[in-house]
Amino acid sequence: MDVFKPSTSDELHDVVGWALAESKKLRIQGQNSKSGLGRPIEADAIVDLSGQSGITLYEPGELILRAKAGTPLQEIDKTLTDAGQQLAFEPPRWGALYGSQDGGTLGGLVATNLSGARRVKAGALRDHLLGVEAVSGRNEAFKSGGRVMKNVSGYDLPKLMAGSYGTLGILTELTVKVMPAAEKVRTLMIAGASGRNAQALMTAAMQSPLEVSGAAHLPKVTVAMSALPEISGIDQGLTLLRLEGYATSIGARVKALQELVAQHGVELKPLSGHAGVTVLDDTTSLRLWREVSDVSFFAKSDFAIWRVSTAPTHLSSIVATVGADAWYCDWAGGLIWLAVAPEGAADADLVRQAVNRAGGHATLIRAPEAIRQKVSVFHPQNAVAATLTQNIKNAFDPQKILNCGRMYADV
Amino acid sequence: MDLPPPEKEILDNRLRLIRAFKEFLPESSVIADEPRLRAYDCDGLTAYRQLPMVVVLPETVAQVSRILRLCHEMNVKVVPRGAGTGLSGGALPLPDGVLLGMAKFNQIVDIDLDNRCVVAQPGVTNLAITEAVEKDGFYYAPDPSSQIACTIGGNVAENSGGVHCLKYGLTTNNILGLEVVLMSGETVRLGGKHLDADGYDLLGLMTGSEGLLGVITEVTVRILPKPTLARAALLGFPDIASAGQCVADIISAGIIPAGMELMDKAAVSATEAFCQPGYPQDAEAVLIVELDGTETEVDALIKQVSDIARATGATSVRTSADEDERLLFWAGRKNAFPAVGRLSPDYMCMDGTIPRHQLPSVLTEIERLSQKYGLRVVNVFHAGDGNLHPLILFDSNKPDQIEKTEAFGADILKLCVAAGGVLSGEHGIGVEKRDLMGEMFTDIDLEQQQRVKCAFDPQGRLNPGKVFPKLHSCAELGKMHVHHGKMPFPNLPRF
Ligand SMILES: Cc1cc2nc3c(=O)[nH]c(=O)nc-3n(C[C@H](O)[C@H](O)[C@H](O)COP(=O)(O)OP(=O)(O)OC[C@H]3O[C@@H](n4cnc5c(N)ncnc54)[C@H](O)[C@@H]3O)c2cc1C
Repeated sequence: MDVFKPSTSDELHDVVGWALAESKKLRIQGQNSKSGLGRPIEADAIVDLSGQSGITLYEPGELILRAKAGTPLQEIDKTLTDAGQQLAFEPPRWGALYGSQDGGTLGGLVATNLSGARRVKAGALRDHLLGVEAVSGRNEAFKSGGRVMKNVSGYDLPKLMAGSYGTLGILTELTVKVMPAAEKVRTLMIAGASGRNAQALMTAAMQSPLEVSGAAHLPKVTVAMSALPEISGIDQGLTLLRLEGYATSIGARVKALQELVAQHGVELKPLSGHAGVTVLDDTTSLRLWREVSDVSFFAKSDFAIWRVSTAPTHLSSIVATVGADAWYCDWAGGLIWLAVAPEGAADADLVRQAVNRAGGHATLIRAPEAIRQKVSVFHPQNAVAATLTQNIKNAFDPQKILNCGRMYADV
Repeated sequence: MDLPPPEKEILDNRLRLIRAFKEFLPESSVIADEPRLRAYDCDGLTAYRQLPMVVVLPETVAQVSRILRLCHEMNVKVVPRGAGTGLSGGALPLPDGVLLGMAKFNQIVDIDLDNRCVVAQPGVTNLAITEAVEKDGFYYAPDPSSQIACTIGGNVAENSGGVHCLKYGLTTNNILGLEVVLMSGETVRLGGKHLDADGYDLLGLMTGSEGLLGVITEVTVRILPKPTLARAALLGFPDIASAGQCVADIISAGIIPAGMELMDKAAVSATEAFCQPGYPQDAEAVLIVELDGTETEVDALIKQVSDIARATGATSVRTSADEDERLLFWAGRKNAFPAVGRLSPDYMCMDGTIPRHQLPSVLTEIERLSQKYGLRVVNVFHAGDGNLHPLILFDSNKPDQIEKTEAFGADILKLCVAAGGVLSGEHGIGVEKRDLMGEMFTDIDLEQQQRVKCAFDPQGRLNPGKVFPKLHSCAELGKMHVHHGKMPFPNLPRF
């Protein structure tokens, strides 16, 4: 298969022009770190955007950064870290899930709208995407949004491009909002609260004014899959509540959160060396929450992986219905990760029925290609939504040359 | 400013349409007589007025759906309306259009504290949502100054902001789900109580779409726990530049305040006369910085902010000692518009956003323009996020003043765009800034946006004449020229 690696916008237009003229289908990629994400597609050529790389504008005082779509996330991370800032939505790195060493590109991240644990407090990637430039399937360069935080000037196409998996346009340049990084991170690790208790704890934490920036629960099976020896050795389910903020006040917030947990009267099973509640320091917190955001627990296994977004209170019913081999939740119960055997239809019917009852959606994040061929990777849409989806595809890419089929058949 | 010319076929069908409405709507839901139509002839942009052909006030989603289907079949234009507080003319009626008022959708449907959300009908006011959950310690974050009157449906349509956007985001960052009726009469639910869309982010697309894509019939918003403590600092500066520097230094210190609002001298004296908030009258610029969070945190931060303010030249620094004082600090800012309303028979509120560091130069230029046009201007500024609200004072009874005000306003917005900003931060384009869209976007950009409109409303019947300066038919927009037979490009690097 031809691989085009355009390094200028003229070259990119040439590729798209060629595809239009010759009715060729293009597969768009950055570092190809998430190759196994989405429906398998057939393409005639690959457009590799990693040649279009580089931060083009960074103004820490204005809290914005602009970069070409092929810019490695690693480079962006480093630039921001050096200035004490970060992408507040905590971009997950899923490369390891698909056997890639790469951390991905900004364009790939935007195209998949991935957000990590801090999403519950700081919002999703789409909430931090201020402006996009892209080339449509009509081979027209267009822009939308801008470089300022507040903007109601025309439709919010950045929202539409975020999470469109390259099916609407080839992203070329992106402007994102950046935020100061917290001085301190602390995690309350509560051992032994299982099922409804864990759910109740996370809910109470999120309902408190303590600005909890992460709330996750790992059952015992998943705890054992952590790469951190100090975690994997704990023979208990763990509930994790994260606080981030200023050095001057983090201590008081940790104390208040400890009191809240105590008041909650959850029956805890203290372990030797792991009294009911432990406070994790910056280093351990950072590593553990990376595992939570990156789904690292399941990376080495060959499980098929479902990602369910639902209202947090449906956590236990969904987990109970599916009966996965392993699972955990993030977003205070609103994001459920289910690991099932990579066989048959990867329990698609079971998962989808449970989610349909609760409201929300389930995506088959990882599975062998054969399963992704026959199972809807993205949550099936009703007729009206499916028509809108088709119409929008048609508005950007009428000949369906861009990543066609990656999300839905014929889209 | 021109509206699309009325279509004769529609006007000829007026009586037939009204009769058809009356078949499925209660008597009180159809307004067709001129005295009562008058009440709907403008929104918050009162300089433009137009009687609608007929007003309908449905009470159920089924009625909304039937109204739209009927209009779709009869090829009639529809303009959605919430409370009519919009400042860009988005709800300005069309002479050959049905005005679809959502005021009767005023119920809160569900309060779900465990999932931290509220489901509301679109006609519920912004403030009513907070009021419904306040006793449980929650609130809905976006707080436009019009919050007692404006509706949540209107907020979604305009992606409204408020003074707490920098930390808590705009409407788009605080809603989880929508129910929308399309022009075809079909209903679709986007999102729900969960986070993030499956498929294309139509929820995000609908937000800020100014009533052009669908009629919102239900909104699910995220609610937040009320911070333990909020305190405000009231800071006076000898010039705008040092106030701007103070804002930059606060952010550079890694602090994201809950709110940061700047007022120029004219705004300070207007509000003082209106409600006596006690602002320093000798200052050229007054900055309010609000910090919220836990007690230890707020106390530490307010001290840090006060130190930064002194270092950047603040001539007066006061911090609120209690809740009453904090509210007093805000009283002036929150009443800035009515206060300015007392200075002049009319005013026009502009709404550009600029990169923050451009503030001093943009304000200097606005002052120059003010002299050129001979019209006074008062500036309030959401300083944290760069959203500027120059209020142009004028008298619509004097000859040429409306035209002059429009020209002055247009110059301000062009200035914002040239400074790297945008035409609207939170009020929307509507009819007011429609003809300036070309300043910000190329024809290709605008055509791409209009193709999105075609995906929802192929006949262009929903709120036409708003947002886009040129109307194209969807068939025209869909055309594409492909040059077949060109050889693959020799210069392209292939691997
Ligand atoms: C004194 C004053 C202060 C203000 N302060 C602020 C502020 O601080 N921040 C801010 O952002 N705005 C502010 N505004 C502007 C205005 O209040 C907001 O834009 C508000 O969201 C409009 O809500 P509404 O219900 O009045 O909508 P309307 O004015 O009735 O309509 C606004 C737009 O939304 C569409 N629309 C309304 N309801 C629906 C629906 N159910 N479905 C689809 N489309 C719909 C209309 O077609 C129109 O295009 C202020 C206005 C005034 C008068």
